[in-house]
Amino acid sequence: MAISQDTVERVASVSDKYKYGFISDIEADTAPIGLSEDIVRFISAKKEEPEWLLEWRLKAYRHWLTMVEPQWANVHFPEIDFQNIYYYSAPKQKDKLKSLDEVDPELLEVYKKLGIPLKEQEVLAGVEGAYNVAVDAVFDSVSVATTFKARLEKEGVIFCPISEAVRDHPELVKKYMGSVVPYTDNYYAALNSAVFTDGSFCYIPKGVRCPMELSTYFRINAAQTGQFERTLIIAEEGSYVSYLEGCTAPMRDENQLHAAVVELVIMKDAELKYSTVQNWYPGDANGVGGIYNFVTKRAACRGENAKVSWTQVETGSAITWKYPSCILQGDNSVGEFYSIAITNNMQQADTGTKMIHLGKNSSSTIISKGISAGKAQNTYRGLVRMGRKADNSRNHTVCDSLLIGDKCGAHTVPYIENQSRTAKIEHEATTSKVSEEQLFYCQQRGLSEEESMALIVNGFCKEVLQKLPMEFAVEAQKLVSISLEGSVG
Amino acid sequence: MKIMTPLADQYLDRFEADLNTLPGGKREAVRRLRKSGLDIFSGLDFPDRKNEAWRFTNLAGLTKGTDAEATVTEEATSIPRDALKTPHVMTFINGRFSASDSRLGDLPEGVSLTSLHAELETGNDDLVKQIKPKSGALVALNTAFMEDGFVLQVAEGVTLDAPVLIDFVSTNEKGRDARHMRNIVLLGAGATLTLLEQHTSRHGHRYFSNPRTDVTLAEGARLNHYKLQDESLAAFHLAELDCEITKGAVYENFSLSLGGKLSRNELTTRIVGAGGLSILNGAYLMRGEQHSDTTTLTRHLVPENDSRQVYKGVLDDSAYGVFQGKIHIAEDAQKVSGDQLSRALLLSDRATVAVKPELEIFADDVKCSHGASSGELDEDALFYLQSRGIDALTARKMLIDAFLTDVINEISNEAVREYFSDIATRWLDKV
Amino acid sequence: MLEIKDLHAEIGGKEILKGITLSIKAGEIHAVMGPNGAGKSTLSYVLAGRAGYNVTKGTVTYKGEDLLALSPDERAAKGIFLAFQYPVEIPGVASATFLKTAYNAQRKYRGEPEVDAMEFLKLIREKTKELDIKDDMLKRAVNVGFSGGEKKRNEVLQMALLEPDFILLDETDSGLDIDALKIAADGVNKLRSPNRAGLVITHYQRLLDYIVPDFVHVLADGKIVKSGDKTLAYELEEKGYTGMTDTAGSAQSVQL
Repeated sequence: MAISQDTVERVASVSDKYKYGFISDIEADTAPIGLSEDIVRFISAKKEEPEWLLEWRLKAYRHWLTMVEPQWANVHFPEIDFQNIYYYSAPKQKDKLKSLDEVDPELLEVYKKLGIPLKEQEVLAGVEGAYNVAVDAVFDSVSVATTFKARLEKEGVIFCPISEAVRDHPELVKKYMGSVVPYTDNYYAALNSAVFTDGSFCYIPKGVRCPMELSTYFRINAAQTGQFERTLIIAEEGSYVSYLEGCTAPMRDENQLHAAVVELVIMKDAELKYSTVQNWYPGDANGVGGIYNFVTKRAACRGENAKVSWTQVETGSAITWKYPSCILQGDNSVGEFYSIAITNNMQQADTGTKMIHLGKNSSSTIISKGISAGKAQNTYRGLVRMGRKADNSRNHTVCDSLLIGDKCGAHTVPYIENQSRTAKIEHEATTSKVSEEQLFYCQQRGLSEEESMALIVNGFCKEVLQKLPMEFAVEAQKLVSISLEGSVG
Repeated sequence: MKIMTPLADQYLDRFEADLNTLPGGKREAVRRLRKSGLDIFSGLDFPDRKNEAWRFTNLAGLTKGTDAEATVTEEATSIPRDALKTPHVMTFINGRFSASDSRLGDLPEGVSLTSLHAELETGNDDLVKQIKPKSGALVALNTAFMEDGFVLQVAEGVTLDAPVLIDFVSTNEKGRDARHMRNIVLLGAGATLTLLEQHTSRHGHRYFSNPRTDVTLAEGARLNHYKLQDESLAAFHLAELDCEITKGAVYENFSLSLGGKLSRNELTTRIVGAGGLSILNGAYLMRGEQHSDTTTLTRHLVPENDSRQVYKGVLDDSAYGVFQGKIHIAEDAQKVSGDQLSRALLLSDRATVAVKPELEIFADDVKCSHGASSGELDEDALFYLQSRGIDALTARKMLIDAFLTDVINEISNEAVREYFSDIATRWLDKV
Repeated sequence: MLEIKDLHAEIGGKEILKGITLSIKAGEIHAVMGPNGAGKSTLSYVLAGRAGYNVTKGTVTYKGEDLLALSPDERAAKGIFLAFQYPVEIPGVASATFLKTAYNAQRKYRGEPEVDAMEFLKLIREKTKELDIKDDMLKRAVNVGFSGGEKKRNEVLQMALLEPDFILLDETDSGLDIDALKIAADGVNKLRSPNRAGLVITHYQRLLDYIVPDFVHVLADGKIVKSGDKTLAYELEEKGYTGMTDTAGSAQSVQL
């Protein structure tokens, strides 16, 4: 027997529970609508960028013009009018900020509402619930505040908006930007390269263990505005860093585009953990509104023993198109991908990873949990490739899908290519549903139906939730429940 | 205008002339059918690697046109062709039915085995109407140029115990370098039959084989369909099969592929009745520069039915193996189970395997899984065997044999099981 | 029968055995004991010839011949038998096929005539009867789906069939299954004779209650730090490895 109609309906009522759907009235400085070389120049000028970067943007823009939107993903949406988007929108700011205390109180209020700590004092004073995390807050097109910069500087760690890095550390930006995701990589990466407005830059010097979690909090506020951020993290030899990102947006009837690029460079013996909790506005139950989340994320393990770990909890967005990938160049390098993707109502997600093994003894692990409810479509798409020289490399992949209700879809599309005799690849995938027996068992023990559902789904996701930093895990667990219903809390 | 591949151009050029000489050239229905096939083909050309379903298999070696240099002189087929004893044999030589090499006299009442050539020339219209050009390039090309094939019809409730052997033999005959065989199998309700299709070559020459088989199983029918592909090492073998499985019907397929320079076995099963069962198994054994592609699509279109499949590959030298398998479960096709397993052994540092197992699921009360693995032989097992006194080469062969036996044992017909097992062992002797 | 002289061995560039010298005569059973990580398993694998274990120095002479020059199967044919603590599962290979192939391979190597299927069946039936093993085990794939006890019985059956001259019993892991252990010990004891010898490798004294050794050696950090008779095993049980190696009074310092 399939689950009861009641559950299906309750599950379907989620979109009303999107907690972060408010709109803030913040005066903005906005570029003219549409995209042209002039807009690219406008953005570059706004950011007072050097000539080389403008040139790079223009090359990307011209290349983008020659490309066509990718069609291979299992997502369907009306054609995007790239001329009907604002490519730059920033909160008005009178002077340069000298300290965090000068941040517009209204902005601080926004972040308070979102539960993001922008006050260093609270953390330092040990205020309950304040996490030991440095935050870069990106509001529409620009970074509005970055906390704990001074403390991090003491360790030699650079953590700042990427526009600031362009100004203060041009040699690093020039060396690494586009080295993992070139602007020619794909349609959205090319677009991003032309019009990216801000994002975070992290540099962890040789041998440094970053003393605190680094995080970026992305907020889309302005209407009809696209967010195109670019994140670049470099972990030098023997360093360690854990980085988190979160995303939310207001409830609007229109679809908004978010096309980000994230590049990670991991050198010999370094380790980077990258965690995402993506909760962009998913649209309403009828599929009106919501963010189009088209993101290119890639990590290059360039030295021996380099290790990168992607953990993602994808609950938001109308459409998600995203494949955080690992290029395992270094011998003994390690790539990991842990993912939970929840789609409900009319949401569509096509997400997964690529593990490209080039170095000897490299290893990778993929654990993907896809949950589909309502009329949603959820696709895992992944590539595991063992190069001719990837001797003794290993991959293990587990892809599980859970279906709730009989109108949704779950799909698995793995590509597995092995060119190395001594490499081993193992892939398993299953699809199942929440059984009536499981629900009944929980209910018989006193849980409500939605509590039971939350419990079972959280159990299904547990392996991945455990990979998140503690500060995030609790939030994510709640989000998993909320995304499927207002069942818990 | 679209630029076609040289081989496609050759086909388009000669179609008008061939239309009159191909079987059924005087029947309007057949001519129309051929034309509709050509229309589809001319809009498609041969698939290239930009086509998602062909991303791992490159037909350029075929489509650039004939290449006399490519002729291989080595004797390709080394298996004993008469090993399978059965009274029912239908033989095609170079794509044409050969009555003198066939034994069809002992077929019981209710079993009809005829040649497509005869059906197209003088058969009834109902059968011709059954043939559809379909949407793919290869089946469309086949429709335009089909010359012969077998038409097997089994009446309701008839059971035939001895396997029916269809023997497709190739020899180095001038001007006969392509065969577009069109085969039709219709099993009536409750009928049961075992069919072995065998594609072999007497010379190591180049040719293009493009067989298309359409199977329809009425309620409760069972077809055990086995295929041995041992074409010449210079040949291209691109086979397609479509099977409709109705209520309670069972389709069992096992394909053993060892031959061909480039081969593809594309199987589609459509389960349209409750209790239907699709079993697709196979093994591919490749060495040298051989390329083998197995592509399956299992479509569960109604509730309450099952499918399972196991494919195993052994790749030596620079061989390239492909397995693509999709399980599709339609909306409302509840209480369905679908399992798939694909495993490949790489025996050489130059061998490659590419695997794409896909699940496409639109119903929630289903159980589906797929597993895929690839790698070399288990070192612990090798050492264990050696520590008991078995030399390294024998130990390797034992393990490969065990790897294959596992799937060959899935063949429910004993005679065919032993026949295939023997062929696999002979292949192994050359490792 | 077996002479090990100053044996050094490494795995993946890491030296594990750092100079082992040991002499085992026909009719003797020696036990090698030691803490985890001492190199016990490595010793058994080096003697059996497993790939990946590189001998960097020293010699091993077996029946007057250079053992290290032989492949694993040649060693087996010359009478060396390694009883695995965790016998390997080999899906798809029937036990009977495996046993017959091994039996005939060894006979062939020694220049003896191979036996045919009927003869072999008779032989193996005798052995299974003797050991109280059900015939259906022969039909099943090697060790696949066997319980711990069944796996051990299968090892003993192989031992009884192949009649080795030198038995290596590897029970290094601390996770011992006592019943399984007894089965293995019984198998070894049945074969004990003045013409045969054995090396029992273990972490615990317990095994030696079932197979009483003539000599006991303590292995630590890749070297033998103390040798004695069977009482040494009891001493070890009492004092633990740390106590033992501390009071060993040997010139070699031991890092545990």
